[in-house]
Amino acid sequence: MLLVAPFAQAQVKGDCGTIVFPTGAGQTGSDDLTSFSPLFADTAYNQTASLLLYPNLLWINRFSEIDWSRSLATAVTTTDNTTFTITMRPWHWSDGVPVTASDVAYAFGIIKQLGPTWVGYGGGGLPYIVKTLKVLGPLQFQVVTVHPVNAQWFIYNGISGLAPLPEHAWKRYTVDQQFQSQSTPSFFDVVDGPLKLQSIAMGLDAVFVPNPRWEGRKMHFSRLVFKFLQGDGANVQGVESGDTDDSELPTDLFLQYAGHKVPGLYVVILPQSTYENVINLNFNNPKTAFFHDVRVRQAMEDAIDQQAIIHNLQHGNGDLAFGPVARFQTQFLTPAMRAGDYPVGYDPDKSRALLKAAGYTPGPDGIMQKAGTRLSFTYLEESGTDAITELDEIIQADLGKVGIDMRIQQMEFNQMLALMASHPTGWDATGTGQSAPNYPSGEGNYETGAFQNMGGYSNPKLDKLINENISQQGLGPLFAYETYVSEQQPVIFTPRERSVLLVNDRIHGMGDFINPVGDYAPDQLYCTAEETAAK
Amino acid sequence: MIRVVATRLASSSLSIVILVTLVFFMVHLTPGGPAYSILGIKATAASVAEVNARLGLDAPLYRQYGLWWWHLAHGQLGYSYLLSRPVGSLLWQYEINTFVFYTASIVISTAVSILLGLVQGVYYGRWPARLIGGLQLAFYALPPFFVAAILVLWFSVGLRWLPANGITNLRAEHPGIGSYVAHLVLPVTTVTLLTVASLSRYFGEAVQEELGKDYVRTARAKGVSFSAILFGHVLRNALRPLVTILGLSFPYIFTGGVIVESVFNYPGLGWLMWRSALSQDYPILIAIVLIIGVLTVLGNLLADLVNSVLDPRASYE
Repeated sequence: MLLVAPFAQAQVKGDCGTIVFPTGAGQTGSDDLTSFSPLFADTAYNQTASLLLYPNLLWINRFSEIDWSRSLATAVTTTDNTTFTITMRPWHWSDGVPVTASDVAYAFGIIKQLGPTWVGYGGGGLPYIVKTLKVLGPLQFQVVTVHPVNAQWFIYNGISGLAPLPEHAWKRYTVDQQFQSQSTPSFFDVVDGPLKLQSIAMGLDAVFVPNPRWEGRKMHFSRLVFKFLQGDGANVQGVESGDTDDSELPTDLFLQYAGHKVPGLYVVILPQSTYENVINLNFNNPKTAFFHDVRVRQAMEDAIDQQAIIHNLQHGNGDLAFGPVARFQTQFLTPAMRAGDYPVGYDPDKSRALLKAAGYTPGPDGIMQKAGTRLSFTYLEESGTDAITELDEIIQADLGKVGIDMRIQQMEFNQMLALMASHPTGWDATGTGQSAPNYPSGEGNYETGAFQNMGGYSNPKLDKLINENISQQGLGPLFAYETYVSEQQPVIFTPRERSVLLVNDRIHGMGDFINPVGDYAPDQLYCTAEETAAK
Repeated sequence: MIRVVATRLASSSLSIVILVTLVFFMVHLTPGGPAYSILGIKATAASVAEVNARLGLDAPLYRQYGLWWWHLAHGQLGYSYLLSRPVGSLLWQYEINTFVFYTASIVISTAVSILLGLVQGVYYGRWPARLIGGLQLAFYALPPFFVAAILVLWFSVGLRWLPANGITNLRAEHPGIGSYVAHLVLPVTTVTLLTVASLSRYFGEAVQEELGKDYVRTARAKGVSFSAILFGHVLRNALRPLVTILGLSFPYIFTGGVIVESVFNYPGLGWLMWRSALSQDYPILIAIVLIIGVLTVLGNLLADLVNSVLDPRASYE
């Protein structure tokens, strides 16, 4: 009898050659890349691509924590919560020139020049909260804020959004020239990120190659191609036919793939992201003045069966959302919320009781009414996505069960935005997916006049709590803020859906490739090269 | 002849100016605008105003309209708000794709249609003609997106013989001509199937009609072979309606088809037009409308000229 020594199969990270992804993995849908400038990249797809060339100073990992090993900054210190000293690691541009603090100062100068048209405007108070940005040395600079701030907030949301830009290569261009060059590969020849932009074919694809001067972790591919595909069908067909290596898997196709082994493909359910889905209520419209009554808002939240949505529509790939902090961000949740205890939650009986307490009684058609005012509103829905329609129809049915009439009207997205911005009283409600900042502070979402506060919600107490949250130390103000938001429901929270990917089985590391805010870590991708080694 | 062409072009120019003017004002008066596409969820009245000012969209509409013609007179079609490129160079990139795609489709469609039409005309009333007629009706009734989706499901997803979308194999650093051809097969087949369904029907009927005419009977009575009559006389005469239809299809060679290009994510002008309409990228949209207008005029004119060569009796003087 032949005795064979036991073998162990060890996987080593092998080279993938060319990886082809559609744009938008881990985000919603996909679209063309049209800008690679961190200053002008307007869409989430463009921003993700620009960060591959020009990473921010801080990298936020999937647990919403700073990963210093991946960050350009090595330390951020403050003693008075007003003066922040940032130290950067020695790093080089792709042309060999050292990356310096002056490059950050240069970028900040342009940001100030751009003002509100800068894509990151307002995040962490940038740029208006910064009194001065002073270069202390080649690898150190100092930021002084106009008033003391919550250090963790400013670091997570403000400093994390800064990135060095190659002053030596770009200083000869005006801002307008930079704007006009935002899709020209040669303009982005000097980078400090993991990848370089090799080419872009408008309407087709953008080809990235590893930056040979990159001093971070090794890439396991020779080219990363982002193919511009439109529509769920094209994405799925792309990966099924082997043209691409991954595809966002629409919820209505999930069971078809998750339940069966499809040769050559596997399903990856990405970790939860901070992206939140909400119903924006219009507080400016006199016709929907009933939204001002917190009991009506709470009744709406209590009427929506989020578990059923997660189970039936999202096939378990979602998470309950009753407040502004994602439940995976446990470090930011109040102890009560960590235990699942929120001021609101699915309870139709409580919902009806709240409406009754607010003075509403069922009308002849079953719709609640008070003094001739029916609880009826029109909900603007972005057209073209089946999953959104299905979600809205479930919500419509849930609200209908407690006597709230939600009528759905579909509209093109930018027409919807135009209507909302130009006719503040011309709409009732709409649904949006909105990005939450790394530190869940709320100044961009719920503060009076905030850019994502589309419905014009205004609550002096909440403004005060948000202000305390961004200016006082510790988690106390954050807990007070999130509890109050959950209680007040300035927007109606709906489940946070996880992204599900259909991936070519030669590609590994997809789960680590995307962080909670949708940024990519291309070094995490690898293919298997099986190594058989005798133990 | 030159006078005729010049007169036709002059009278058509007015139509094109009216077309472009209508489209210009219609797209500018539609709610929304490129600023909303650029700013997305961050669109506030103030930020929209800033972006509009940067793009020159805050000027009165009549001034923007005048500027557009001024720029056109200087050979400029404007600058895409969303794609951050001069419209002229963008159109050129997309145009090449569309030209290859539709030229191949129309050449193949025409050849197949002539072949099928001849068979249908010659075998009129017998099973080959009935079979062809049935297939013509079936494909004529099918919507393009359905045919495209079925072809993708069979040949890309099922058999994995052909790529599902795009124009080249992105895995290859230097894809050869074979890759481009492979990516053209399914879109071209889709357009060909649908075009042949209508073209061959027209042509078949024309052949059948010609075969019943006196000159054919006379020629046969004089002992001229059937193939000589068919290819020497009938074909030429039956081609006239086909040429007219092809002339009307001429703009498609350059502007493409929105649906087929969308299903195959084929970056042609039709696809670009559709996407520009959604994002309200006015300069691209108006430029493509201008191209469609000009090509429709040229296509009609070309068809008339070819017909006058095919049939000297047809005079456009």
